[in-house]
Amino acid sequence: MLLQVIVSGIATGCIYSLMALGLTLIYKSTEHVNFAQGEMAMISGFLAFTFFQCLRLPLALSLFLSLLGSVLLGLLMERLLVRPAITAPHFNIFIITLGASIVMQSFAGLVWSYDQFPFPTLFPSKNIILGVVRLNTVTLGIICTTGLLMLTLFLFFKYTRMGTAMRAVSQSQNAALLMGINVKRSFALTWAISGLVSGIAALLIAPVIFLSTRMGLVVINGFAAAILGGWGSIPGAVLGGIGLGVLENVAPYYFPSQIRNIIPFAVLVGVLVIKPTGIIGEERRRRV
Amino acid sequence: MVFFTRRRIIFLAGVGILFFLSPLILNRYTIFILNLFAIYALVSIGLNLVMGYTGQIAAGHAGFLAIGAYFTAIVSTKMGWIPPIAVLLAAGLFTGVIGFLLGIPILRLKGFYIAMATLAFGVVVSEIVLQWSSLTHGDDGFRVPRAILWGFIFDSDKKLFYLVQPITIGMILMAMNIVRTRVGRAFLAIRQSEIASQTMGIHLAKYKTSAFAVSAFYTGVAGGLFAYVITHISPDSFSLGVSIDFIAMIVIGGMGSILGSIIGAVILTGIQQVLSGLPEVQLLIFGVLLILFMIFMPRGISGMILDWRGRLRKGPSFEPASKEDG
Amino acid sequence: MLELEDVDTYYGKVQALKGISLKVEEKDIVTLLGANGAGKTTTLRTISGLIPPAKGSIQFLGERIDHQSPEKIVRRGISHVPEGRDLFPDLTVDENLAMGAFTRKDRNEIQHSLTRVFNSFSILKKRRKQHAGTLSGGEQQMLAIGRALMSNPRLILLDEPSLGLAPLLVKEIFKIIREINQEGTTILLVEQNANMALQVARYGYVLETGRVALRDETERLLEDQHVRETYLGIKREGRRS
Repeated sequence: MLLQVIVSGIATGCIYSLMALGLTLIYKSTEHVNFAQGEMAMISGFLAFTFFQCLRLPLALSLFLSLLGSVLLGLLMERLLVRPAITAPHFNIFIITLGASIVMQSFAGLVWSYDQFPFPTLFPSKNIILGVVRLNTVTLGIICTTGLLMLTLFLFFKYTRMGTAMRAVSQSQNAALLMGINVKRSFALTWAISGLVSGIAALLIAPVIFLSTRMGLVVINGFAAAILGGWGSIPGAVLGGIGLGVLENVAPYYFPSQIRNIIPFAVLVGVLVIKPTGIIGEERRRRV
Repeated sequence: MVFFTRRRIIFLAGVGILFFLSPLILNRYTIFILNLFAIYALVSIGLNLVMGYTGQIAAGHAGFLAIGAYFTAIVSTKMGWIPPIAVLLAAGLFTGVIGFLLGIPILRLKGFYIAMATLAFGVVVSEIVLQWSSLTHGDDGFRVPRAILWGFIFDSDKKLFYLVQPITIGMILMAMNIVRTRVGRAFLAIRQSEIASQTMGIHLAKYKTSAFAVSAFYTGVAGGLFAYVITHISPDSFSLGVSIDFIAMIVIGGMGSILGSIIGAVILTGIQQVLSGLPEVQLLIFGVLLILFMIFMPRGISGMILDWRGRLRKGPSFEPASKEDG
Repeated sequence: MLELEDVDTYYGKVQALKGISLKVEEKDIVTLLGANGAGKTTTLRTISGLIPPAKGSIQFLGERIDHQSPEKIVRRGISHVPEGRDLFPDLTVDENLAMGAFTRKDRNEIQHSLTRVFNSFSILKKRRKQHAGTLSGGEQQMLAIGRALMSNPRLILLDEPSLGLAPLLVKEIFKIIREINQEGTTILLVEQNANMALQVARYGYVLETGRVALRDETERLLEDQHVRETYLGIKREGRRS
């Protein structure tokens, strides 16, 4: 039974990992924190819903278009919100993304209202028995999709020219410029990928928790996950996400069920107090 | 600093008299709004001390507001014989101590981590308030008893005006005093560069935690006043969104400036009231304003005023807000 | 090949370069000398496009490059090895070199360059899969120069290659610089180690507080009294101070 809970915890954790990944990608390459990551995911989900439910487009096309939308949203945010303030301190950009998250949330509320909407499942729901565990295909689907996405991203960053260039930019913008790398384009691409990752996260989770314009709050789980794993570290984002997901699912087992709401914050506070650099603990040295 | 020149004092006295006589002619709703302006101005000043002055991002001030409000509500109910000023003072001190305690672990954190920690704090407080229903009546909300001072019952907005405004004005003056002293300048220096200020002998820990403590004090008192004015408080009024509203106030009004805090509070509360039936539109406008100001006018409205004044005449004006963006 | 005319550069409100004019002929080695803060690094950064000049013009191979973006300037054939190396610490030696060739498309040619770099810097070959941040100072400097060579540049801007290196390594690096030049690459060298710079370069400029104070062939600069005292530490008596 516990194993069951852990497995569904891993599935939830995958979603958090994707959120944390989106946040970490942007932070690693630009040192900016994107508070609107969750809202980007939410809008993506609603786009898919609109295409599929309201415009009656086939499911696959709806999903594709909504992912396209999330990529465009990432690019748009980078171009309109981040680039004009590029020379400003990171504090400013953080507040700008804070504002963006409010804008997107209220905009979505106005367009789609604050109700909750059921979302079609991407995987036909069936139950599989694997030894002791009864797995739902949805859970399996989430875990596999996330794994596949992570693998793709890993291969992209490690082995492609553009991916390596993006890593280079995150390590030294100055040197990257001198290599002839278009750093601005690299930033835009980072935001685009980040948008895509959030979009996929939304599409995976929407069937399970229903679509709602308040979904964006999942960004806080993303932050907690990233900090738990080690802020600024990509493997940390993955680890932290899974860890948080498992924790959230296992805790109600031993504690009163309301504890679930408070877990991300307890984790946040706990990590920041005990070991702010998280599990992987990458420390960035500041140049004076 | 020659802020209080003879002409200024006479001018202010005149304005002051008019101001204090105004409830006689204004309608109830306007007076209520003026009270709200005052309360949020106090929160704004409090938040500015931490964010605008020492540069620590605080995304959980609704938590301090809640602590002040519920402290006041509970003490007034259980010990109604204590005069409201004392209750408010106690609420402020209680919240201030909590702020100080919060400031200590935060010392080890930087920038974005502080934002997350304070955010978590705000939500945890709101969750505690919700869950500890035996003390706070949780979701149902708490009916705050009327403030009674020597038999005088503050049972109308007009009467509350005379409780809220003097306290607010007093605290504003106190804040102006704080920022004008070494303490205030130390705060500003810390925002510009922690490392540089350390080399100048500024004891970082002392100042950063005191900033939190004073900030919490102000917000706590504001919370108490809030409880008296709104008369019925519930956890909804202290959500994460509220904390973000506060940030919007000081960004728009101007960080690192007391005048800015007041301006920001007035503008946002004004918008809130004008659009009171349309919370989404409110939020949308706040968000857009937040973005626009942060991109184009990071020093806020008070920053603009300073620029404009600087061009007219050279000389000390309201507050020496930092010249560069911190 | 490269010509700066009356270039002014500012950092915010501070003027770092005041009317700098200099010329670098093709296949030459030219050195920029001067004390800290004299403007040497700023000059290189202005040439490579990291900072736009406020006034003046920079011409490379007959075309103006002032106010162009760094990536365009790299594509024209100028490679800048920054002060302090500025490698990509978490990328491997191979990956750093690959980034050097970012602007090039032809795989064969790139492979060719790679081979040449490993010939000149044989020690790097052993450390191909290592992260750049784990290399020693000397190896890092070699990697930085190798990385710059990977773009097959016509002109290399070298900023303080001897910084932080032991004397033996410094000699080695300067030997390599000479070799690179002999193979056809023009070099503009910024150095605090005036002695070595004046020995390897043919022409030199001495910068003082943002202006060109002296310009001459290095043979004559070595004889100049002011240069000897200020930058070579040789007192009038002829004894090293």
